[in-house]
Amino acid sequence: MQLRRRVEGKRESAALRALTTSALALSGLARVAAADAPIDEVYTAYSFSTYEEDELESSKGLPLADHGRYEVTTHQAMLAAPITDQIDFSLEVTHEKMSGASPWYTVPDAAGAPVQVMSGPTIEDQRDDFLVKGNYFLENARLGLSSGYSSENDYTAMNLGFDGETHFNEKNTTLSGGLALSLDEIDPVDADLYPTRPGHETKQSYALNLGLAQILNRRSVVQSSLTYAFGTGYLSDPYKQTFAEGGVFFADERPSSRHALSWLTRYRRHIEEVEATVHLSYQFYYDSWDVSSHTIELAWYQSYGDSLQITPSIRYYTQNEASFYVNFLPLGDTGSGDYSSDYRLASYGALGFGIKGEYSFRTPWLTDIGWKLKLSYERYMSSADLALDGPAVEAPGLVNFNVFSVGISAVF
Amino acid sequence: MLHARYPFRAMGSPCELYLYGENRALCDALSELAIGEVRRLEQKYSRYRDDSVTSAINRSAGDSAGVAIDDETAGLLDYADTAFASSDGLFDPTSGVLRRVWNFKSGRVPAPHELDAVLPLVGWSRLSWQRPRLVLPLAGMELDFGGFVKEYAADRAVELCRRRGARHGMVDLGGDLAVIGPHPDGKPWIVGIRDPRAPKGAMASVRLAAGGIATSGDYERCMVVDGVRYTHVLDPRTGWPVTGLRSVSVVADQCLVAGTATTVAMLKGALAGARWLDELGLPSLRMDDAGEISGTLASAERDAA
Repeated sequence: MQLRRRVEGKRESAALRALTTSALALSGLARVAAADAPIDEVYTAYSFSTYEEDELESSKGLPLADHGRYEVTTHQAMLAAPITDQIDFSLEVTHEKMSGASPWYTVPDAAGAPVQVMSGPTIEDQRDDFLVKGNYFLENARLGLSSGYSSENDYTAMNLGFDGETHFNEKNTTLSGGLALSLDEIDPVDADLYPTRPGHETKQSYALNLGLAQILNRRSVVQSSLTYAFGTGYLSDPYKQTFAEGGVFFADERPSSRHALSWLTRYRRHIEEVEATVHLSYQFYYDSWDVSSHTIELAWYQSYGDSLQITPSIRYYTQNEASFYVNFLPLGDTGSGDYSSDYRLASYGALGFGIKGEYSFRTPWLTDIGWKLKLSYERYMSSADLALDGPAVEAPGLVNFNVFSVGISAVF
Repeated sequence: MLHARYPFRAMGSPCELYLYGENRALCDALSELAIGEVRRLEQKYSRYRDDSVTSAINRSAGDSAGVAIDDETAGLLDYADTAFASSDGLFDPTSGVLRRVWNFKSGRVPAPHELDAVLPLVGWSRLSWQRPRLVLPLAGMELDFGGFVKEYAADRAVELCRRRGARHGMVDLGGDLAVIGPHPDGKPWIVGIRDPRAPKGAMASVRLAAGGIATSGDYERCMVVDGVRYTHVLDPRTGWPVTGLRSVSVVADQCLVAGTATTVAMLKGALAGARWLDELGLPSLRMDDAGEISGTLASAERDAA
């Protein structure tokens, strides 16, 4: 017998590379999911989450007042299924229950510092939201159409979306775009009791989005998108009002249109050595109300074997106040012009910490089903001190909250 | 972990699926999926079924409008095109028409004029393939996926099992094998390579923890006329059975690629075939006409022994 010893391990000829690539491109052999095909399995998911705001610090609220804030419990169910080999479809239903108090207006204390007045624990509302979406797949592209309806006691919204994406450069580059519109109707409760609340209002929002994703190499992808949004109509908050020194109240009054531009860039890199993927994103936002913000987020997707993934994440946010933000108006102000004391339009910074766990498993019965259990927690804290360019006076209504979420999904 | 073995028959060969799973029901469900996939491909590309893709393509021969091809078949045609180009034209799915004159049950060698009549119908470069249309320009031309669909089926069965969470197991489609993953203790599968002159015995064994292995031999279908062995592996250029190698086994990441490499090596013969496999850089085991065994897998086996 001939004895030939040769190290052939790493040598790969052009012919072998061509054959291997061609074999991998064969439908289904490629380990990466094909982008231009509908999902090939039925996906269902249910999740339950609670959003709970911290109590207002007593120094920031009225003495002796109840400082409890808002909480929301959310049930969400989803179903996605293939219809034909070119079409898939999904349905999402959300039911939310909101309760508690929310910031109403701010007044100066004896020293002139703003103090938050809460609405009182009067809010009890629920929201139902339905969203249907269909995708149509072409040889090298996807077209999507979605429609949603959301209804609350005092608010209904109808929205319509159209989006699509196409690939080129051997699927290494993806161009995506979308158009969305939402028509909202607002019917504030107790409008007869509060002179600052309107009876019936409407608003319309439109958004246009354009994105580009590029696979850099086998391990990393970069993605960038630009969104222009335009809102018009009643953009104020009927449940907020602005206090003017001397004891006069004015309705929350914002401009009747808003143009906003945001630019989001994401980078994702897989680190094979430690079975992890790192996601880094940065978003810049600017609008015609002079609000500008920066968001940086870092998440570490760590896999432990095939079934467990733990993802810690951290997010930093900083925002400059809207041109018409005031804690309260000075004595003698006649209430003409735009102003709002909504803390969400103030200057502030925020930090968010999250941890998410996902566990995949199968059971001895119903063996066709792949289950996934998800558990997540997020802590969010905001303050003027965290802002890059903090204001001299902090908005007293800035919020801190916890979100817990538990969910289960099944694929079959 | 439970170990389950599922023997079945498909694509004209005895097949077996080996699985490890948490329990019997899980393994059974996976086996139905994997075996179902093999049967789906058997039917889709069968030469014997009127409703198969192969039959539809072959019926279109001579029609300049050609036939529209589905995505999966298009992938297989693209692969065949690559294999044809990488093998100096030896890997040729149009060579199936040669079977019309080579009947290995007849014990008769075809006359030269018989071969001359079918050779013009052979040649991948004669057909036109431009996604999604395939045109076989000459009436009587045929496409045969038999040379690679079994290997593709092995890869697909493995892929489906892996997608469903299987990590340990192997599928063997008549000697073309693809591995889902090693035994649960991490040990590789030990695959016996048949001795071409004593097909019930093994001439070597190969350790395989991932990827696939395919074997092509002159013993599978052949006839001996006047002391000369004529094997079913036919050279698309001459129409004659190949000589030089009794058997070739190749290991690759995909069973499909391994199978193509064995076919082309058989067609190239002992010396050129060996050189081509070395150039590819794929581990192989070969037995030539003289019974000499060579290839990296042979030496690896000796080193391990």
